[in-house]
Amino acid sequence: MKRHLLIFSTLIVIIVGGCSKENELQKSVLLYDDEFPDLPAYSEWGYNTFGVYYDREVFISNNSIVPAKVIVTNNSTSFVLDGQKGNMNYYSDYWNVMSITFKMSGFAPGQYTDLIVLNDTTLDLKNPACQVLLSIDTMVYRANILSGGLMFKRAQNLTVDKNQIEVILSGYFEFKALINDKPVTFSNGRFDVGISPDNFYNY
Amino acid sequence: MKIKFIFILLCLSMGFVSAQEQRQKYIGLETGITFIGNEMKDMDFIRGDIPSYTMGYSTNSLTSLTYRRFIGIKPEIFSLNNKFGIQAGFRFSQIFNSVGKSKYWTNSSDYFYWLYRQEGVNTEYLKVKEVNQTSDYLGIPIEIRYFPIKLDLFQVFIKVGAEINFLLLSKTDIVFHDDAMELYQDDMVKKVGQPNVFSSSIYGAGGIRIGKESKPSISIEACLPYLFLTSESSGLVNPIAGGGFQINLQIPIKTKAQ
Repeated sequence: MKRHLLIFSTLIVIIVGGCSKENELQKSVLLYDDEFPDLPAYSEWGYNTFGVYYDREVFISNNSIVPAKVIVTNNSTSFVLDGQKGNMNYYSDYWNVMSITFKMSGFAPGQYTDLIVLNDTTLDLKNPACQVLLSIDTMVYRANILSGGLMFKRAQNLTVDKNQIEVILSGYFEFKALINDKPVTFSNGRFDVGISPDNFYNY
Repeated sequence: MKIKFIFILLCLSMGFVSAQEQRQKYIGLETGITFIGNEMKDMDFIRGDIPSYTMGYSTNSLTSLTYRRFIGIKPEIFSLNNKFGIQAGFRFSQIFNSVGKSKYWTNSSDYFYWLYRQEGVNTEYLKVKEVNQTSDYLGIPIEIRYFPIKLDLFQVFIKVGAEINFLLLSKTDIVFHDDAMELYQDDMVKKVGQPNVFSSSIYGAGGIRIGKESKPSISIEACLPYLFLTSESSGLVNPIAGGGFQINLQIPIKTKAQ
């Protein structure tokens, strides 16, 4: 009888709590990489972090800015990583807001759960269907990609206590590009972010 | 070092083997508690949740607790000069390990995420408040007490001891954030390690014994340090060292000669 009650209550939770929010999962958990100590270690837990070397500087997620957004509009999808230029430490009282947008034409997921198709997908950023935009403070630059790729190593449909919560996107990226006609290198980029109804936009 | 140890043993045995009819003997009932520092095992099925700053305070990381309580029966036999006592007996002990979420600030949640299952692109976390593991042991303690100060009603002693424990039973319990997830308890418990069948430890202690010689007495002692020789013996965490208290009630055993 007790077992039946538990099964019944589980079903109720699944039906009623179809789209609950997880405050803890939206926070960032930054575990530094041993090999690249300025960057977060690569993970697949939905830690809401990313980081990449921008030449010798670091572009990294922080606790103040939502680290990732997916924006679907006009039959294209933008995967936006928002963070800061420069390391996180107690002594820096100012950092530059920075973002990278990977825009993919011809891919338009209807809802955030459709992002699961990105599992084990690598995009050649030199492909004309891809665009990379850089924003540093108020300036926006379109990167003229010389070479590089964006790899969604893993996309996971995450349920917590049997409730659908988010899709975790984890992977790597790096590219060389001309920005303002100057060559720059983004290397050892990695991301592990959760996309939920809160940071998925379709309009 | 070895020679000193052998010399002490010889002195002790000389005290115990001669003139047996005059030795004091007691039977005692003991109980106590030991708080043990431990090291958390790397549990790769738990979602890490540590501060986002390299030097920041932990607002919501996991903490662990280990303590041990015991009850036992121990006869004690004294040396001729009543300076040394040897105790050996049986001890039932229970080691309680717990891993849970610390809450230094109120805006922190009281649960953590447990990776329950991964199948293809589907990943399931369950919210867990704490994991408790209780292990019951039957042990044999052997202790030597030395009484440097002996007054009529009051004696001070120091003690060294060792014990070997045999695992009787171990039970792991998971406290879920949502009670409905109890269904998955058995599967999850399998991921938590089980303690080894045998464990051993050594310890030192000091205390006072209240009561006249050859009369009922009570001993109260502080045990420090208590060192696990088999740190890897516990399933949930690795106990290392600790300290605690022990109370020992003794009544004398009268022999025909006495």
